[in-house]
Amino acid sequence: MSAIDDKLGEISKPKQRSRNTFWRRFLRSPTGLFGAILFGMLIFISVLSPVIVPYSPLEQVSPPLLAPSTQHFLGTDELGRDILSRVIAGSRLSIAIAVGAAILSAIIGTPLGVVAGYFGGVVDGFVMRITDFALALPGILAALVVIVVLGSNAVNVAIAIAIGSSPAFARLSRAKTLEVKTRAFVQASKTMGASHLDIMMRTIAPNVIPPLVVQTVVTASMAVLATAALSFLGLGAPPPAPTWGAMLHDANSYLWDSPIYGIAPGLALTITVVAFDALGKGVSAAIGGASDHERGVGGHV
Amino acid sequence: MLESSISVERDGGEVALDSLLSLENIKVAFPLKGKFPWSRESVRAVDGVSLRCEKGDVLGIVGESGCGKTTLANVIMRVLKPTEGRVLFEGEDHAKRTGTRTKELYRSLQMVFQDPFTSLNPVLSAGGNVMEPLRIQRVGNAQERRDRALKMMAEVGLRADQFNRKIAEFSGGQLQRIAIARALVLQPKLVVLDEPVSSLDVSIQAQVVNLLLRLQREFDLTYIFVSHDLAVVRYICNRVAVMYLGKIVEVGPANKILSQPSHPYTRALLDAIPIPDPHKRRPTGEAVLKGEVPSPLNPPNGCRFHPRCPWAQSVCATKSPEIRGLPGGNDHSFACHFPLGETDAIPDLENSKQRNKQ
Repeated sequence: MSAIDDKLGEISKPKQRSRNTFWRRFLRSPTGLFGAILFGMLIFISVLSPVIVPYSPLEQVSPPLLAPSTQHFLGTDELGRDILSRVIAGSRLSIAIAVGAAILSAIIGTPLGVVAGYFGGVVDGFVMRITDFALALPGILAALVVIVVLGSNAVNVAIAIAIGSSPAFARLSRAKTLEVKTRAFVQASKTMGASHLDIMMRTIAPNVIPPLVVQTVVTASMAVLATAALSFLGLGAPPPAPTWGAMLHDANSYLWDSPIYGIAPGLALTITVVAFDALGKGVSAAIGGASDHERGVGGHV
Repeated sequence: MLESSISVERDGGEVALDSLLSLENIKVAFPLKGKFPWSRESVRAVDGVSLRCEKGDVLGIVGESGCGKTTLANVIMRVLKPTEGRVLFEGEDHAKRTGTRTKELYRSLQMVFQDPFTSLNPVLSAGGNVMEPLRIQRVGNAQERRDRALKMMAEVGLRADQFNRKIAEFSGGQLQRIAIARALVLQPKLVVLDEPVSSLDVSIQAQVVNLLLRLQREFDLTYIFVSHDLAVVRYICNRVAVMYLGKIVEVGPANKILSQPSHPYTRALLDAIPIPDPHKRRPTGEAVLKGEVPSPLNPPNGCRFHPRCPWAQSVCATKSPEIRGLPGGNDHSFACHFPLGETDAIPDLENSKQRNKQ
């Protein structure tokens, strides 16, 4: 089926604007579509979480550790708070931290990589040794140090994760910059009198960023897990804020009394990671296709 | 407007006062990574080129690939710093330009690249690419830039509705028109065209060449036209410089050089143009080139062309010919010990016939 779709795509391709091509390709890939729907639902839930939660996620509304019932769809936790409400409310923080961390790491890593790739030589060596150093450290350990130093709250968690995952952006953007800067239009910018900063920001960056979108989504997926891991270790947003990691940690003590307590946040976590990954695959397919298109038309005959 | 007129006595010859562009003994050497870090081998891509370009000229720079044409173009564009020598543009030394003066240079000096598929920014639209020089040079506001870009696109034969189209939607000829519009939108004085038509289909080549000629007259432009295609050069240029292995071997009026060359290499280049008639035999006595272009890593002693030259004598292998003119030779000069007359036949007939058969 997908082969036929590809054929159709190729036939209808030349007439389309490339912006449309991106979305068409994206929506045509089943994984991307699945990811987009799932991600849309998650965003919907997390944005509307204050409205749609059946109970307040912070209030002790019932006796502790109730089994699922019609009143409490997923039961209650050890303090008598509604688990469903806490899972829903937790989505907000998890997704916000994940997306924030991913965007932040792109903002930290990409300029470093572009500068390193553009100037080369000593600058390149210096920046790349720093990123090597950062890559050599276990991410979770580095994040622990950052949080211990900065204090544990949602913003610092995002910063900690971003620092750990920005070297990947630096490496990717450097590689792409090395490729882009050899193309004649960069030299053309020079012969228009553009400064180095102008060339990097206006000419190279727009050509480097599209492939990094995939990396951003993948990083977000990883950040969801990292956030949960940090909360699990007690270094996430401080209680009583509902986070999936902290819930998993607490549920750990009551596995035999109330298995649903642990399953619910775990499932939410899994769905989120799957959503991000599928989204990443879709974006990757769409962008890969788009650049193939460019190459096809612009090929050196 | 020419700011400073300086007269320099150099290498025994006088540099003209008001040349738009003059190159003085330009040398470019690219260091090679040798087997040892201390080895100092280098490729001398351009080796002592002096050249003038007057306002209104269409100066062709021709030669085989690897002869240093594009390197020279990059030196003229101040993208590449020559190892030795000076580039004077409107009397001002490229090397002495700093910051804002460099930026101003590119208001008067622009370039069109060989491959329009890579010389235009794929992220920008057609109009965006044409507006880019205006943006960088901070000309006018957004609306004025748009108007100027639209006007220039109309000049090169593009429609206004193509302004917002993506680069990927255009054909090669259209892309080169966009690139030309981009180069001319700042109203430069000198445009360096680096093989502007050689990546295009032959049918499109003629259109673009005619467009370039029309624009040259219309905007009173000066072109430096780098090419290996003598047919195009003959059509468009009024002066020609022929390069071989990093040196200029012959320079002068195009009609003279392309009909009655004095240098054997130019002769060989002309003779290498295919005759579009299968029944016509090449007249004997043509200088068909023997052998390969020697490596610029290790160029031959004496005249660089002597290993391939049918007229070479013993002096050619030892003494490098100075570039010189004939008395009353109206601006025509060449670097050859034994310049060709009108009727010079090729001496090494047997050899060249054998070559033909192969």
